[in-house]
Amino acid sequence: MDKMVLKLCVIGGSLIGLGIFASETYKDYYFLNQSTNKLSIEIDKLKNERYALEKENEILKEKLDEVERKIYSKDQQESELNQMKEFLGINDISGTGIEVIIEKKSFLEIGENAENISEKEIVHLINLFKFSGAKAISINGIRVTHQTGVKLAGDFLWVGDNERISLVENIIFKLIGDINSLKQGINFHGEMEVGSLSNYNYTIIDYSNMLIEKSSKSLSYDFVR
Amino acid sequence: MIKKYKYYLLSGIIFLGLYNYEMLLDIYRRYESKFLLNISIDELLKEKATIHNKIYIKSNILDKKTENIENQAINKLFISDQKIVGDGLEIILEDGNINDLEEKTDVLYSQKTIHDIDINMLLNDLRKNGAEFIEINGIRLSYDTYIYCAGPFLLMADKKVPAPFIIEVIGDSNILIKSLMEDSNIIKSFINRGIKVSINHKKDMVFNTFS
Repeated sequence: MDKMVLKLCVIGGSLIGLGIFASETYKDYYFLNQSTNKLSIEIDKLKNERYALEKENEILKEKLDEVERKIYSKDQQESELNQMKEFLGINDISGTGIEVIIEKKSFLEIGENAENISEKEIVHLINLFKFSGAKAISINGIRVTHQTGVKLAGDFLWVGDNERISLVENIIFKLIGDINSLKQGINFHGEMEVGSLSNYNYTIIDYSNMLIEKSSKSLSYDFVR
Repeated sequence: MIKKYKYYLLSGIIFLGLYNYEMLLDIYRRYESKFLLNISIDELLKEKATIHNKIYIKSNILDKKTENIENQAINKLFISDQKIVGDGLEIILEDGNINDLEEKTDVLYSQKTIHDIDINMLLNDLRKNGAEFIEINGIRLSYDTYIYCAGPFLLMADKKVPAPFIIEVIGDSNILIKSLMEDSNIIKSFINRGIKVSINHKKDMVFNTFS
């Protein structure tokens, strides 16, 4: 009898326990299932948000690249502008080049009445130097620009409006450009004997890095609209 | 019989336990995924802010550079693709004719022909009297433009230019014309040599960009 009661109690207890366990498990299942669904929705939302941000950042990166490309292009323009200022004589310029020293021959060689160099020879020389590849020219330190004219006045040569050099002293041209090209042009037969240049000797000195200073005169463009 | 139920009961408990465990693991994984997504979104937001900031800074740099370049006259006059317009004068030079009565010698031909040195001397006269820009037959002269004889042509800026030579000059035309006509300048010698010379004031001349 006692054993029978005990068995029934065990079975009954087990059934109750199982019922409680099943109920708790169902509750858990329900809660977990709800959480899973909620999380799924949140994850999908986050995924969409991430995708949208990725796309947005891609577009922004493209925009940044474009701005950087434009800056690079402007840098090149700035560099071109600075180089142009050097060539135009607005700024100092340096580079490979030569010095051409023009010295009058001795009286014994050419006599006392040998003509001095004049505008014509200087104009010829400047043209020859440009033809030979000179990118910048100075005469006795005075920068020759595309607006510089030379004019003879007695023993002086005006270079531009406000600077002059003495023709009694040596004339020193500084030229920036390719050394070989410059020398070939200058040494070409007859080029340094035009007019009264035949009364002068010339010497060429190479420079791996030569400085030609900027013009003392500003470029004028008053009549450009 | 009871023993059998015991096994069923035990199996059920284990099954339910394992089922819950799988669900919990799934939730854990989802939380982990959500956490990682949030981190990823935070990083993307930070990246977005950084790019925005970079664009702002670089756009300002770009604007300043653009303004700086475009405002410089040198850019407009020497580099940009814009043509320039100005007032000044036009000189037309043409080789002189030889009359039937004249003896056709080399010296006479040379006198009546325009040479490179003639043009270079004229350019020098123009420059020393205030020429700002010069164009010959549509070629604008630059800081390194040379002029050399090439048979019947003048060679300038690697181009062969035939006569007549139309030299347009931007500058003060009154001063230029007055000074060109002085005896010390080359124009007088052109006239004496029989070279055809025409000089006129000219407005609104359009100069090409540098070639």
